[in-house]
Amino acid sequence: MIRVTVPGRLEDVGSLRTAVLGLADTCAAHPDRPSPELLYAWALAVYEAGTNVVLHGLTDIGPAPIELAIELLRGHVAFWLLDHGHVNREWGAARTPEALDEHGRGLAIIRAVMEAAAYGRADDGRNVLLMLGRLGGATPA
Amino acid sequence: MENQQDSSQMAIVRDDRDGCVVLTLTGELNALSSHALRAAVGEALEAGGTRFVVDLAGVPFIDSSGLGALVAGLKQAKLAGGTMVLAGLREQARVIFEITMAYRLFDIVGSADAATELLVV
Repeated sequence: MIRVTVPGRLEDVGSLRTAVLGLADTCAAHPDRPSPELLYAWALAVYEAGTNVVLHGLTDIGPAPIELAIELLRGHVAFWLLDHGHVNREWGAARTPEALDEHGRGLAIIRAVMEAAAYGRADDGRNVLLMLGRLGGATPA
Repeated sequence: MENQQDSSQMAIVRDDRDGCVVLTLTGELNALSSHALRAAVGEALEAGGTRFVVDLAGVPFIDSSGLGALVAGLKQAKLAGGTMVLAGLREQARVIFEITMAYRLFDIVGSADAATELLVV
């Protein structure tokens, strides 16, 4: 399992993306290794999730650690994003943005890229967003 | 050519060329830097610019905030009777356009020169 913790500021969220792109090495010998395009898509989705935590979950709390855990499963890669921020109440209510909307694409990107995503509470009280990417899956388009 | 707002992650250089406002971005276009693009477009519109080229050859990554700023710029340009063409979209930056199908909104060409040619027709 790969674990990365970032301080919870916008300028640090890029490290989450770097961790996902590092899967290129981890999965190099895997028969269903993700294509570069799929890795970019996963990295974007995880990045959007991290940005969402900073912008909406930590607004009046300030920087607090955001942890990303990446686990290679049979047929899938699991991305766990954990934070101490406010509960993201938009998750269940997120709508599909209109073409010319200037905002609101972050959650839609996560849903479009990942095979599944679920949001809840970890045993230690942190919010947890679990995203599953399918190995051998096509790049979402 | 004038140097415009620099953010911690992105620089914008504006060049008025052949009746087009060419904004050359360098660095990531994301939640930290998207406001700078919105401001640059706003200033150019106030100065009478309506035809925009956004050169993204120096932008390795775009997130939803950055895309939102581009969409906002496109809408404002169209309201002013003009438009916005994107140039030089790089591989990793292109991903968000494909996932969100935002490529349907924009003309995207290979270079800023090709974009100005498109707008000057």
